[in-house]
Amino acid sequence: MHWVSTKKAKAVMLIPTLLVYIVFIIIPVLVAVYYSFTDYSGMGKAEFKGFDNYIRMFGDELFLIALRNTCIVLVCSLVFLLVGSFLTAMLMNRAFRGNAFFKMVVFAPYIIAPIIIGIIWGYIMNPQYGLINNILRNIGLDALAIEWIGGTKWSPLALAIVFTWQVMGFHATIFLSGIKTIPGDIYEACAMDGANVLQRLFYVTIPMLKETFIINIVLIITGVFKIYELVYQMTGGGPAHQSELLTSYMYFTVFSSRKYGYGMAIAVAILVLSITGSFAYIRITTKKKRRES
Amino acid sequence: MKKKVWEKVTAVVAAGVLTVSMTGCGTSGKDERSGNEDTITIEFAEHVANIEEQEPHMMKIIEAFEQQHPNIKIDISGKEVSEHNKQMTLLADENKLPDIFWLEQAPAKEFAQNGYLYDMTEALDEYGINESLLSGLVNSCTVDERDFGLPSEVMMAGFFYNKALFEKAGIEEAPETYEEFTEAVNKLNAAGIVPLTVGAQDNYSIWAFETMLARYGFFEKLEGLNDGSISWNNEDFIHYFEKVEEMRDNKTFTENIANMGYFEAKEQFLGGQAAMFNSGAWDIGDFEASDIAQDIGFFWGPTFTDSEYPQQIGIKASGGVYVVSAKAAEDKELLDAIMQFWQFYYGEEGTKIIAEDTAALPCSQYEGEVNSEEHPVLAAMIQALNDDWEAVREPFNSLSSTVAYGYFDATFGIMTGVYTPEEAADYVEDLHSAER
Amino acid sequence: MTRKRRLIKKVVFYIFVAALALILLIPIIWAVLLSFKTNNEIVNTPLSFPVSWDFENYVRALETIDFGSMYFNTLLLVLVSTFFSIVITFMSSFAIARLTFKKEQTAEHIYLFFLAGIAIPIYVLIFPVYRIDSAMGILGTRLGLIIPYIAVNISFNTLLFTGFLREIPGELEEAALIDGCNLFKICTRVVIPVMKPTFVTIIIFNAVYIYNEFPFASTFIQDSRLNTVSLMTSMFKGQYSMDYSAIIAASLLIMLPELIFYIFLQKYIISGMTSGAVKG
Repeated sequence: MHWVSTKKAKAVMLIPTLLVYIVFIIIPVLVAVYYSFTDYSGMGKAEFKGFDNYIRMFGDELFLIALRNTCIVLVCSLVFLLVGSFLTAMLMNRAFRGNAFFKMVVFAPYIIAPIIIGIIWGYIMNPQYGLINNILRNIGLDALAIEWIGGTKWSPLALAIVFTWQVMGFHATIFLSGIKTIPGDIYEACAMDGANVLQRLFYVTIPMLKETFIINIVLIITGVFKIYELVYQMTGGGPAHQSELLTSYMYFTVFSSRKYGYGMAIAVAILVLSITGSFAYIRITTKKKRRES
Repeated sequence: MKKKVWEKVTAVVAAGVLTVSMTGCGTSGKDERSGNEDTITIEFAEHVANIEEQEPHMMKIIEAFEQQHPNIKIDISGKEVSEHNKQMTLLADENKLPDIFWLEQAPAKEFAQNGYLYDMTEALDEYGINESLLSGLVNSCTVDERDFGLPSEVMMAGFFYNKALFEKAGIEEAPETYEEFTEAVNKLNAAGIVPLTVGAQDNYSIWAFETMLARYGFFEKLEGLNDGSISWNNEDFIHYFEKVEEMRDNKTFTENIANMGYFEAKEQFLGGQAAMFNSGAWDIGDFEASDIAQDIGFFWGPTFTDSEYPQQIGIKASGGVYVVSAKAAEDKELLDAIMQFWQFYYGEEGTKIIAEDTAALPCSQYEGEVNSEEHPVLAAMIQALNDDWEAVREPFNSLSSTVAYGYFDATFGIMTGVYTPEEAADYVEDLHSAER
Repeated sequence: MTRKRRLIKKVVFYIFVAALALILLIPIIWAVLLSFKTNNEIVNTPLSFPVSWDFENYVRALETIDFGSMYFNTLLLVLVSTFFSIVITFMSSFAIARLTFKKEQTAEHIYLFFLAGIAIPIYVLIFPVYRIDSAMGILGTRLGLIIPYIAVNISFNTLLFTGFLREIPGELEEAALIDGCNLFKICTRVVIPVMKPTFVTIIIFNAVYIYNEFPFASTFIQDSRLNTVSLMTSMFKGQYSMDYSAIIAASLLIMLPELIFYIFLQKYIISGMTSGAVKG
């Protein structure tokens, strides 16, 4: 391929994407970083304030609550999604009648607009007239009919459940494509050695899927840091901002409190956390490349 | 505080039998030009997305206005209120504001201070708009005693109650004092009826509680709050927050309060599932369209004996305002067209459309009478508007957005059990002190 | 004995799969049920079935929303943005994966540069992109949305395209080169035909994203004639009123074309993702 790799060819192939990416992603991020050092209110003059906004963040109780909630959603989602989507992928990988339909159902929530998902699940999770609690009460499990949303305790869990429902099909499909690349003869060898199902799972399948796991983890991390519409529709961040996530708190700061500078500082914090999470992925792909060459 | 500013309405609108006496459609445009050669287009941005459904009177007024002024075209567009607010801020900074648009009062003042709005002080007199406005709604939005906004609605807020449910619980009259209110709540609870529904998920639905804060001296303390000599954590405000806490402990609110939006709360009230509802004049239309229309009454919310401030007060003021952008005012012809439109909107014809097509309170004087059989809630509201309780503004409009929403969150934080009164007061104080 | 055990195992397996599918489907079934209730019933009698199974909410939804123009606006954005984002990201991914650079690391660095975008929350971009659109004079136009939509899909497309392109055996291209094909012909005649599932997968992801996109659309569309389907909820929201039963009905009407589109193309998703880098 060296012959066609002329400077001109490379330029033609790369420049459109680079241009769009730099102008509409990279520069905006830099602009946001710039404003995070100011007291800009969305209009008028912006005064440079140094690290004031960042210092303020650590004394801002609501920010810390949003951070805590985001961490809870992150941990719960990682557990639910890794276990759930992995097991679902194992099911999808088996041959059975209705397999195609099952695959379709599993992936379907992923294509529904998040804002609509928020509306629908609001009516399911509502402690008073929602579906879950009414079913629980009807079968006598009143103790389990907790305040899923609207309280100060359980909202992050509720958000993690809905997020899991939304993206499980996507992650299961990634797992499935990983599983499909495991050569069949490895399992045959296992069967000859007399390994049982669990042994096969823990000694062959999971280790072979290490990279798939890492990619899923990275996509879950970045995904959690993007949840906004679910909070907006299900709890509105309430009561009194107790169920806010970082993104929704940032949105509130920018658009309701009209503190654009501070909001951008929160945005930068989100970005840093999210990119730190993604580093794992970047390192792994780099390693893989090196190993190949 | 303004006293007796509503006299004009009192004189004109008396609840009685329907005899609308309209003086003939008067004012034809003063410089009406024929032909469409130089049509002037006014860009108008509203705060609802579906203007035909949500603000039918506006469409009709525009239609009537355009018929009279064939050389003026009004290009109206709208977005849902939070999207609209966001949009206006963004457009302001780009210097691309529409010619006329709606704003909440706090941002309107901020816009005016940044020079984005047209100072309409002189024009309001010149076009006779001040004369047509209800006297309580003149000077709705001022910065340094200059006028920057026109009232978009009569902001009148308090508690609506379901007379049938009150009767069922053995309550004879709408409560006035806090003690009477508590007694009513106890009776309702004993009868198994939810006393008061509030949509805590939408923190803006605080209205009647703002009146209560005003009864603990909000306006008297405002200057001190702004210069820092008075903290939100003062004895009176703590009493206010304690009252909210007592209400919560006394099971005044819906059990599901934190998950109720304002709209759901309204549905609960209209479905006869709750006895009282915190709302205001804008809901008259919805109330009258409901099954319980004939049973709905209104009162201003409880008065308190542990406050030394005036208690017989109610929010009777302007809500959001219509403003003109400074950019549009640079074009004299366009500005003239705009002011003619407002003249028409607040003049006889516009007012007639508002009063007759929507069962709403117009912001300008209306020479008609209201049939209390047909419009029971409107009649009740007009009665309250004209009672001798002093008119106050909405505290919300005297605060910055941050502090105002902070105060909302603090109150709802107590209702939902997140804050104690002290914490709530400190929370608002922190936000306010950051701005001083 | 073993036959019986196998049968039991099979039954248990099917029950398990069916239960899982049902749990996943319940929210949608529940939404359909709600779409036949009135606002009053939703709040005041949550668990009961609708009093009447009429299509009143749907009628109201259809009356309020100009679905024709909303679908048209949305489809236009979806088609144009998806087309261009796929063309340019395929080109850049091809360069990253197949072309040789003077320094070996360059391609990898560009790749990582593009991937970093996966971590960027969209809300960071809104204000600044608004400014850029305005400076370019495309604020409020369709183009003002199309370019940001292309931009936000770059990272994910690069991930999938590059992953697949790296796995294509070099011999295919070498043979084409010897036959005298130029770069354009190699792409269109040799590479693209073997990547059909990857393309379909990326089309689905890009199209679905743009179809559902809310934050950009709600901020950047100023003329209501350009409204997309995701802005529909605000049509039922006044300053002091909301018609949620119609919102639910409208939501289902909006999901419908998407679901149909998905049902026809979903079988490609797995093969598309299997062949991409996503598997690791």
